[in-house]
Amino acid sequence: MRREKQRVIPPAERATPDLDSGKYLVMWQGPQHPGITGNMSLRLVAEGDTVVDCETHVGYLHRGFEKLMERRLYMQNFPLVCRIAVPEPDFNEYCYAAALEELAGIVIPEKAVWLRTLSLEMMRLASFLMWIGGQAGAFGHGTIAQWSVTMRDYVLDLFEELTGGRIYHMYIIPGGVRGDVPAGFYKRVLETMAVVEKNLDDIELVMFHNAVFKMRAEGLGYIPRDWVDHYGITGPNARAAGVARDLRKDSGYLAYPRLDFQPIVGTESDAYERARLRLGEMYQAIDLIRQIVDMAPKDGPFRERLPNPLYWRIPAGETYVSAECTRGEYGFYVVSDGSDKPRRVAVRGPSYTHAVSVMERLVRGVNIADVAGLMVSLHTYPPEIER
Amino acid sequence: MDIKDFIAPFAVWKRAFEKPFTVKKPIDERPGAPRYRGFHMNDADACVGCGTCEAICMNNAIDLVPAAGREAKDGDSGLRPRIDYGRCCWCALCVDICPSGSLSMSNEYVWIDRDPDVFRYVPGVEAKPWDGSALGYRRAEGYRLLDEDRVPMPELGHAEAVASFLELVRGYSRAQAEKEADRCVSCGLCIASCPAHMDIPGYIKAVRDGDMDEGLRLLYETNPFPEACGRVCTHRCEEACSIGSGGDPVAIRWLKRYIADQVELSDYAKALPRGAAPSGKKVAIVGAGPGGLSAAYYLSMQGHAVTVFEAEEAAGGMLRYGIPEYRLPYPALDKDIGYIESLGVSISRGVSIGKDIELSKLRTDFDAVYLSTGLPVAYGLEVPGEDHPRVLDGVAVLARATRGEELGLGGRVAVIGGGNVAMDAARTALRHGATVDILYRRREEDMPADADEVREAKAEGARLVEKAIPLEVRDAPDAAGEAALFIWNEATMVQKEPGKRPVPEPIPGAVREGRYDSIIAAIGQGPDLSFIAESDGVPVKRFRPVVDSFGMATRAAGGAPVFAGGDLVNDRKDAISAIADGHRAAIGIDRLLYGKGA
Amino acid sequence: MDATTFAAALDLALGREKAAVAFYRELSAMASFAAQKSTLAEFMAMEEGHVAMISGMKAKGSVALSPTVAVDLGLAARMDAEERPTAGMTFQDILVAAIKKEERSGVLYERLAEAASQPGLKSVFERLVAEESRHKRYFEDLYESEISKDN
Repeated sequence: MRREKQRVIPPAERATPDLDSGKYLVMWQGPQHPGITGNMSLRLVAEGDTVVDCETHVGYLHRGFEKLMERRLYMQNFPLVCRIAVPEPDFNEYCYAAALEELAGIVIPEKAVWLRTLSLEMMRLASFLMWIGGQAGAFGHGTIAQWSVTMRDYVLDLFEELTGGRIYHMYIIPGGVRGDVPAGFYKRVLETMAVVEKNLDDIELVMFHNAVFKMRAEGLGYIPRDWVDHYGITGPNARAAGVARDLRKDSGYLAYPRLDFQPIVGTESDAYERARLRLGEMYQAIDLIRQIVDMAPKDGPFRERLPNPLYWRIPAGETYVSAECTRGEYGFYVVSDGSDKPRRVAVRGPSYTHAVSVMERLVRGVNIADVAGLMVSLHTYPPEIER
Repeated sequence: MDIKDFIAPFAVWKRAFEKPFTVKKPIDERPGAPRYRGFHMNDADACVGCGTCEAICMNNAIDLVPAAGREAKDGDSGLRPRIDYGRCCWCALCVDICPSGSLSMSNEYVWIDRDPDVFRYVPGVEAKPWDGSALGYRRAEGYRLLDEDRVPMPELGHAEAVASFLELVRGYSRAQAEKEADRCVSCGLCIASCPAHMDIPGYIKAVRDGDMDEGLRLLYETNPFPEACGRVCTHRCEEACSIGSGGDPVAIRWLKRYIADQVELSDYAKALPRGAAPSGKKVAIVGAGPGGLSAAYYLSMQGHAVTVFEAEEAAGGMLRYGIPEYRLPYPALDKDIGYIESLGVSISRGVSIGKDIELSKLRTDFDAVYLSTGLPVAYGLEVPGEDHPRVLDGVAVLARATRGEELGLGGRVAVIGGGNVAMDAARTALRHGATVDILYRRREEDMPADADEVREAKAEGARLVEKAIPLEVRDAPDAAGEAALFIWNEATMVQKEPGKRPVPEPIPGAVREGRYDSIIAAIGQGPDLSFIAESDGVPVKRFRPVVDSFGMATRAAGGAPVFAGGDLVNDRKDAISAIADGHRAAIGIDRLLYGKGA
Repeated sequence: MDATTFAAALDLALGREKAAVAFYRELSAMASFAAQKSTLAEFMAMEEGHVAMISGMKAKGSVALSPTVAVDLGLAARMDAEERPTAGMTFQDILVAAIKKEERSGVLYERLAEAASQPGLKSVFERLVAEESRHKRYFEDLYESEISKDN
């Protein structure tokens, strides 16, 4: 028996609470709150312990990346873009590099294609490992977070070895990647994957066969399938609603067309389903990493020589490059005007939709205690909302 | 929901007896990965202070600052990068781009101090515990942001080259020039080392931008001989080039040539600035070499009426009479000179000072005089038999080749000396079908000639005899006056004094001889100062006019002030230094004529 | 030290330095243009300095000269000794004459040192040999840097 789905309140029914009536409590969740995934805040109006209205507030994390990029050389933006989404920087690196390569007509070496794919899948795994700790923690299961964050650190150890950095890898550089894999690296990747996989089994047992988690997550934050296109929902949030949308399959970038995998699709479209689906994607990432280790070329160049970065000019043009990140479609729209700096860069972070518009609607009718769990179940990263 | 959902969570308890991940060694120092991007290290001796790290740093975390105990010198600004860790984002683009490869990062990432100012330091200059760390981020093998390889210059093959006097170096195409220009990092180390301080990064940028008019304008700001210098400059700039610290230096000389070659002489006037209104002042210049004509150009730009007196029948000095046409074709030189003449500079050819006109007369007839007579006198071998009829002087041989005279060198030629004149003479002889030996008193690496010249001379078939001390020239027994025996002593290089260059010491008994149809002496040249009388008031010390910082030798009463420059005065004795001297003197003369004080 | 012998030795040296001054004066009379004259005048002034120095040592009764012999660059030995400068003499001609002159002085003192039986006197001549070697070296260095640049 599954808990009943949360009722979706249509916009027409949206109440305008009379705050002077004394029936309501207005409270702020965030910008500093463990239940908020980063620096944003929710202005909640509660009646009793039920949220009746919500306004999302962003702007606490605005660093002006898109504008900064217009004033920096193409190559100088390479260390900048990774900071747009702190827990998952590699997708920025990839999208930015791929956009420039497309505009400049550069084809990257085969090895770089595979190493980029490896880097992105390792990132997906690390990012989900952090997310699952947050999801469990939001429902009171702090132990899971201790396990998963440890596992994430093992993956970050791999990143440190490959790229020289744990958080900001700055590995996917326009033209390819910045270095070959160190000797014995693939072996350690496989060892770590085995450890992570074993821990995922434990997490699966403890978290997903858990009455408390089920009672709180099932039915919570139900996203009707017709919202997906309406709101531009992507990634696991869309797939859990039964929409088999995955850019890795749909646009087939990097080495994905040569990897064996199928998008995981759910039906229930609630917080539990989304969590379950993401767990599946973690196993899938491990599988993909194993495939990559197996198939990646061992020899050959890893970067195409580009012009001098101090004067690198890219012919006028515009492009949009996207990739499937853990939260959905991550995209860079880059306009070049023939000069040595981008004319405009716009970053599409999937959290923009998920954490602002969708969140505002889903949170109505939810118990205050579940707001954090709901938000985490949308897997949002406020840094990518404010570029 | 089933019964498993109530039991399964208790599986957590199985971990209760496991050691937590974090308590093994909670405060143990954890080394960074071998590639970790930690605190910077800099090999301050390999670093040339070019500041490319500063240019690429998107955080402005790097400043080039004076480093204790380091002076600016050719190819080294004397500055070293200072990193501000309040700004650094550890991206390591500075390491990736560093032309010399001196910058790297250690794998150290923990540094605690109460004083925030310590987190800004000059790696490699201020000692840090991680200096010399074997681990940390290095530029990966095969990964460079800059191109260390020069775009190859299309050249004639050696066999083809010696068969004619065709220009050896063919010049860059547009694509080649732009690719080569793209290698430059605009650090400006070259500007400091160029005697004329040409705006090299500026004109290289013009090549990148495809703006030849702007390029030409920048060239003429400091050098009115771009065609000639673009071919035969001694390119000190390329020795200073920061890109050369980790690869081939940028082909600055060829890029200069590229700009000048792209613009037709008839289009020069459109690109270049107009001269000032006539000043009514007259300046006499003695010697129409690069130095004299450079002074003429800049003086005429200031509106002065310039007359150049040239002893030879054609202008150009050593560029014409000393440098063979396969290195500097006459049309290229004529283009440079042609533009200067088109500005109204008058060149009186075939007028020799001291013979046809006296210095004292120039001092009377003109408002200023510039002496740029160069080094026309070839020094002798100074061995017994040096006045043998088959002992020729290198400069004279080259001049005769320029005039198109029959050289009559014969089949076997010895060239004595290791300078550029020796190489030019040897290669000219090769082009006349001779077998050539180049005999030099020291080793090949000691030769004052450009390494390229030596390499090419050898490639074209000249035989190099190193460590050959000339002893004597004797008449060949069977062909008196027609051929000569050159006798030399093989030497060994002996380091006699610490810090000085080794001395060639004759090996006792190792006396060799060769029979040659011609022996071309090219050991050095001196000035002809016989036209300066004591009454002219020009101070001379050890056969050099003594000049001030503007090149002025005298402003004594009894005539116009006299300036001097070029090979006559400076130590470098090359075209670009003469051009710089000419420019400097033009500024000095102009200031004097306008009463601004020199 | 025997004063008469010491004085005699220095007198000899003095005589040679004075002869050197006269040598440059003679060349200067032959000179035809300013560059030659200024160079010869400079070298002559050097020799006059030597005259003054030796006179001073003679008056003080002791020789204050370093015994260190300069490194021989080997140029003098190979130079053609027979040439005499002419009115059109070049810098090379003047330097060759100067080097040969210093070489001749050195050789003379060497012989005198060998012939001297008294150790004190021998040492005076040896120091004079060293002094002349340094003079010769000075001119040889000039020759290498100014004349024989390319060989």
